[in-house]
Amino acid sequence: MQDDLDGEDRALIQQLRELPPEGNEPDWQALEAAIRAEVGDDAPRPWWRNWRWIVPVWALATTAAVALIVLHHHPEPSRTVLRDPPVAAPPAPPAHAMWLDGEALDLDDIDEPALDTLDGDARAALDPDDDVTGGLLPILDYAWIDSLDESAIDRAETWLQRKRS
Amino acid sequence: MQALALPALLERVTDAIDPDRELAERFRSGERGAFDVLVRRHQKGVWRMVRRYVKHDADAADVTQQVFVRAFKGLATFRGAASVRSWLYRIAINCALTWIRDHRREQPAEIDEDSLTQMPIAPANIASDQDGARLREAIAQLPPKQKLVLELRVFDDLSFKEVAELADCTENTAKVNFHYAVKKLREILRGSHAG
Repeated sequence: MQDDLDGEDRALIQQLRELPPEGNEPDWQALEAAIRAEVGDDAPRPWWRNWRWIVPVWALATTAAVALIVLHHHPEPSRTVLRDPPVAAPPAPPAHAMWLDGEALDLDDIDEPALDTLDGDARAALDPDDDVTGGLLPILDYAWIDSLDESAIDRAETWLQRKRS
Repeated sequence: MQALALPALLERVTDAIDPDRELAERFRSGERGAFDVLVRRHQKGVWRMVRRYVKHDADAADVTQQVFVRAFKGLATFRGAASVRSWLYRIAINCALTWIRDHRREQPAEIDEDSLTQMPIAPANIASDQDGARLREAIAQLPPKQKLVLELRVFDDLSFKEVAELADCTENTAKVNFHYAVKKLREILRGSHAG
């Protein structure tokens, strides 16, 4: 595009180039001194230049940390969960036969009215109102024990020991 | 063909080898003196550019000082995408525009006081000074973009690549703008002659 300029254009450009600069130039040395006084004697540094040491230090610290972790890491033996073998249910105790009047009774063979009769008898026997001791030992009132003398207590203990053995 | 291509090639090579880049690098690595060299090398160009915006010599000097103070603070983080010179000139344009905005009411409208008091015009130079004034008037009438491109190219002697960086456009657009600026300038001057 600049090559499209003709001779007159080029002459005009030359005329412009020869124009004296506007105004009077200042004292360059004074201007340079003023700039020097304004900016000072120390070159400013970009902020990251003051922190240049942080990258190698950080890299070193990271490497050291990774090395420490790797060296001190003892892999735990794989945990195998030991489970107790399934415990078989203990065999049911052999069913004891019920003895009644010196004979073994199979309860399944007993008909229900007979069992009801037996239950009724048992309930009647356990009824606290009844004196199952036949009048020898009062059930509800044990105050009579306090009235026993030493010899009676000794005799009772002897009897109980004999009974246990 | 080869003769035409050679200047363009030379310009590209010159652009690629930025003579200021090494200074910027030395400054970044802490060598304070490298900045003084940059100041010495560019203060004249920066002042001239600023002076086209700011109409008093002393104000132009103040703005130039401000430009280099800003450059001093920013050079440490300068990425080098553009040349150091066009980066400095960009700061100069910004500082000059800020100065104009802040001193809008103080800017002289027609007569430059400095030129009246400090530049006595010799009778022999009256004709050439009149021509100069006429040329400057014509430049002032150009559209802003064309004016900027023309001034950067002719007065600051920047490459089209640098002009494009400063004018925020492509190199080709800068060339087109320059072409139209010259044509328009001739039209204006023809009109003023006829008038």
